[in-house]
Amino acid sequence: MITNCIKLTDFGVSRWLAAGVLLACVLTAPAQTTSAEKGRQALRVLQSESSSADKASACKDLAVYGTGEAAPALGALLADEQLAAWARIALEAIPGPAAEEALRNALPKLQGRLLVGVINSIGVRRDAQAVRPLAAKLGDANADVASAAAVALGHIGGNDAAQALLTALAKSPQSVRSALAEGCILCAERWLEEGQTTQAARLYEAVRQADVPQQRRLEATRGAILARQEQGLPLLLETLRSPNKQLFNIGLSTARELPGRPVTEALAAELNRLPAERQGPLLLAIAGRTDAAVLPTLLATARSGAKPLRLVAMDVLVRQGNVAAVPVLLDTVAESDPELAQVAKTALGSLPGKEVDDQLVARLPRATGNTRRVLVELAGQRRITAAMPELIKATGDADPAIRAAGIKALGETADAADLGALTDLLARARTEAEVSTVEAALESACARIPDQAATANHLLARLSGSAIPARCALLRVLGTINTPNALAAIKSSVADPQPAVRDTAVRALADWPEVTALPDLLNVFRKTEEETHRFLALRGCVRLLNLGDLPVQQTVSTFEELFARTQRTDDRKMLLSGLANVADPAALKLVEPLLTLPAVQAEAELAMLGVASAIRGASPTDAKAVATRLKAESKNETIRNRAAALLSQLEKVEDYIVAWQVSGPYTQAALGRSIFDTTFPPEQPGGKAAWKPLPAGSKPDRPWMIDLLAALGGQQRAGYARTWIHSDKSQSARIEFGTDDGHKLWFNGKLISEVNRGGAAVPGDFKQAVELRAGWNALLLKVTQDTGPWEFCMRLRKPDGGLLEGLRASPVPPGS
Amino acid sequence: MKNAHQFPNALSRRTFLKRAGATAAAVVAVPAFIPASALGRGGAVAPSERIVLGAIGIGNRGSYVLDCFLPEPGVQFVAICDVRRERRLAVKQKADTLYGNTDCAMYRDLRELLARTDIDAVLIATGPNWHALASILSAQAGKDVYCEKPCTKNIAESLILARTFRRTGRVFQAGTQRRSLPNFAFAVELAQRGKLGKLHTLHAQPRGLEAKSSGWYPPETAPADEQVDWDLYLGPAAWRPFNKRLLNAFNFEKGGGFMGDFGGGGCLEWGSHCVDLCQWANEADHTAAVEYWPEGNQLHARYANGVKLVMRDDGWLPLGSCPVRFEGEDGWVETGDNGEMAASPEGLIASPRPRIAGYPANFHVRDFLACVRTRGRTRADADAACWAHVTCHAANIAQFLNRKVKFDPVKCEFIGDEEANRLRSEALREPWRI
Repeated sequence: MITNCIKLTDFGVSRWLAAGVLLACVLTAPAQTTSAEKGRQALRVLQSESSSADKASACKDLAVYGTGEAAPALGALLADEQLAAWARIALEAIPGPAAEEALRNALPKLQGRLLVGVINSIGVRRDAQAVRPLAAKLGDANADVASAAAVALGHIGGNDAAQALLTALAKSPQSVRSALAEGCILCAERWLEEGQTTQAARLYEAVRQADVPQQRRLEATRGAILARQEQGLPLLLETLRSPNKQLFNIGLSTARELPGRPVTEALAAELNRLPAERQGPLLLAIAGRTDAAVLPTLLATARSGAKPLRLVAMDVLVRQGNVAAVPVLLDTVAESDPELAQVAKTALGSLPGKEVDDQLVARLPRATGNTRRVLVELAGQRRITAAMPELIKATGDADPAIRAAGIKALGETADAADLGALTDLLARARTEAEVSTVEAALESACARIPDQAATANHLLARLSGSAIPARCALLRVLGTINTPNALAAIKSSVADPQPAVRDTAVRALADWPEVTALPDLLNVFRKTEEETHRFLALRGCVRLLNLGDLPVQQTVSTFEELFARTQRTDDRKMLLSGLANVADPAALKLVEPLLTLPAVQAEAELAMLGVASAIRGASPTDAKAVATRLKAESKNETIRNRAAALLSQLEKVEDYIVAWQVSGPYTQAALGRSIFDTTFPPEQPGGKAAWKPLPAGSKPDRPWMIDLLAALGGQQRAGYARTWIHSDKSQSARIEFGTDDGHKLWFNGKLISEVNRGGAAVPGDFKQAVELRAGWNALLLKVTQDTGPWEFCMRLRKPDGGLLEGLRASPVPPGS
Repeated sequence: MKNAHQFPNALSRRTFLKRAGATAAAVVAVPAFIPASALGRGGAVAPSERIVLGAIGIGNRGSYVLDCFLPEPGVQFVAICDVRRERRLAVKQKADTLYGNTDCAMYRDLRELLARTDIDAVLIATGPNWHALASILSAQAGKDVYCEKPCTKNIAESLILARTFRRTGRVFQAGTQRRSLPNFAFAVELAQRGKLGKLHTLHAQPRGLEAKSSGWYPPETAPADEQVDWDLYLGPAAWRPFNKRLLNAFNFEKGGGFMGDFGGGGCLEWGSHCVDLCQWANEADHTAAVEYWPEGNQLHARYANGVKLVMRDDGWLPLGSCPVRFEGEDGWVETGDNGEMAASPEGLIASPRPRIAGYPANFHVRDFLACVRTRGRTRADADAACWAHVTCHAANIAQFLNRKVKFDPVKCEFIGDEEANRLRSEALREPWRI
């Protein structure tokens, strides 16, 4: 199939590149081309005057489709430094004696690396007819050749090969002995697999006794143990007792391999004889075995072994998810040793399964003291609903620690139907500490219960009849439930005659997570006569305004009102800190009057800088004016430096487009389509999408790289950026851009580029010729995000890449 | 063809399983929450417990993983090997700055680094072309290995990798770090413990199923060996002239090259992660699927236990990259790199667990280091990595041949399919061998 669809070129690039579209080739290739024909075509290439690249590719084809007929031609390439390996790819794969013969025939003709390659291939083919010539190579003066022959003989295996290797092992130089040992081990390994354990054991033993590198002796030791089977146990124990750490280590891995219950029992007995630092690793090795003696060993060790071993055993049992460990863990929880008790508790917390829950619930009624507290905590942690009666009982325990644990566990376990138990506890709470404990449990339960509206209704029903501390607690919990009726209750409590309730309500309102609380907070700020509440309301307003959920014009007008209502220095500083995040030139006008007030001058200048930085993409002229002014006029060195840095960034923007609006993120792919292929509203005709300013890049050296990750966040999604470019005349231009990851680009409504790929955004990675029309030209860019960075950069240039002057950008629709 | 030394026969495979107790489920590896003192370590790391580390082939990904190693207690990084000078220098500067000395040694040839007897373990983050060979050479030199994925270029390399690590007793961790992240591990646990009912379908996103080759490009003037050692860069790959497209190409870096020159390619890029997770969920860390076939723009496979594996690139929930989905008769679970999970029934994932987004490698690195000390089995040991890669390679072969292929995991051969069998291995360029 490959050769049917690949055109050969002088250097074979197209042939190779075609492999990149292999599947397409497969799908479209004429079906009549047989494998035999493909093999013949490849052989013809090999026999022609084709380039090395084409011959290399032909070798690959022959590896799949070639026959022994190709062996001579392939054999001729074995002396070619460029093509020898390609030829061996085919010769290793083609079945039959011809390929083996071609390789053997090359042995006397080659030297050095090429000879090593051929020997390696003979080893891969396990050509028994090559044993004699390879044995002769064991004495080759070139250690690489002799070593290759040794390993090849090991692969071929059998008595003759093993004998040759053993003979050489006794007399060969150090430089070859490692390979000779490897060859022996390979022979022995094959015998072991074939059940010829006596021969295998003899060979392993010979290597163990030879002067070979330590790693080879370790391998031979492992093999000797396994080959001796049940008689290997003494050598295994000897290895585990060896002062040599490497021998001990190979003993550990071999201890996992040697089968049999008696082996496990002997290893378990060995546990206590070994030095302490070796016991843990050996126990882990025992745990890696599978016979019936393992579990009793682990359970016994967990219950009554030395402390370090008990810890390891408990851990292993839990990692195996073995519920047989539960009784010993429950007993250990009650022990006085804090480390053991803590590990047992952690283990019980992580061990999955209803059986664990059942055993814990069964143990709870008779548990007392510290054990009862821990079991109650575990029941909460595991959210065991069957333990609810015991948990409720624990909330009334005389022991304060058990009582507190019970309340917390109730909060962790309760569902909507159990909320009454918690609100009852709240109603009965007498001290501030009790209220606080129950409130935390209630908040925990409410955060977990999916039906927030029902949860809010339950709490609201308890609100009016509760004592003041409980009402305050309920209001605080309601503040964490984001429902309209919770907000309404908090809002109405702002006017409560009780000062504590009023105070709690204002604080809850000030901490409300969404901008829906803004009108009520503004009202508090406008009307309250309590200084603390006024300040809390102002702080809350600034926080909500900075969420960015309101249209920017409304944000600015709200700031304007807040500025107008206060003359206080602290208030102004807080407002300025919030205003600094508003990306709109109108915000600059609010700051302007404050620049001359010494008490807030520094904060006002910082706010100016903040706004300028936020609008540097959409309104670079305004941003530049602010930075220039502050750099020249500010008395504060830090501000001057920051203004200079902003100016520098603006200059580095060069002719890149940094005035953009963004829409997204879009995360839900259409059924059966990728995010890239899904048509989201910004690319739908008349599609309704929400757009907001897209800040210019924040990296000092690359301010022109627009950071979508910072603006939209996340993985596996898409975002859209749009802008309009004004040209004074019709002219040809080139859009140069880079995106991370894939993109689609529309110019004046027409899709002009789409590439679905991963990778970094490289400036000028994509170039697209366009015809600018006189007036405004629309650009819409979709950028997909897989993982990692998510960014893009874009500029317009002349068709030859030269600077294109006189353009200007608007991130908002012209005329809007 | 009888190159059976690469394809262990049924007896050897079964024998090993029996001996090693290589059950896939909840393999005992290293302790999760016991104090270090329980394993003979407490507080400061004793010199005898120190792990002396070297690194081989450190570019972008390797640099990230190395950064996960360096802060770990008891790790002493001493040597960098890279065929590219700029990379050698960058790593040396990082290490020397960290330690306040100039001790980090630089090597161009990994054999020199591996000859050092003071080095206990190596981080291998070369291109996939070198992964298996460098891992095998490291094990043969007595080093423990953390190797980035894809770990092998073909089925034979996968099997030899596993066999070498068993033979040498060295610790191996494939860089499939999702095995050490709670959302993936929990999803696997749901599947293994029957919470989904009888498992019937596993879904993996291999990210790009097309077969690519790194190829042979027009010759360009090669840099001096000191700058880029092209011969060592090619390593086991058949010779071709220097061309910087190969030096920096995405395919080379990411494992493209189904044809075997430079890497696994095809579904290996992410299949080594998410097919691996599917294997784990199916308790198939010791085997591979038995049937493979292209199905539209997807690849499908079936295991001997009847479970189907679907490799597809689209239609995923927005749970981040590299997602997996496990379906059983009573429910399903899906998760991805944002650390979140979706399941039906929803109660399957009700219990709280840490949410870790962004597939960090530090947990996986710690698992490796703990196993270096205890000689335990890592979460992604050579056997698990081997069989996940075998499944991916077999799927690639089905795609390459564009037809169904049947595979016998015991004999490690395709059934009655010579073309497929010939694609199981590929000769290494001289002088390299495995």
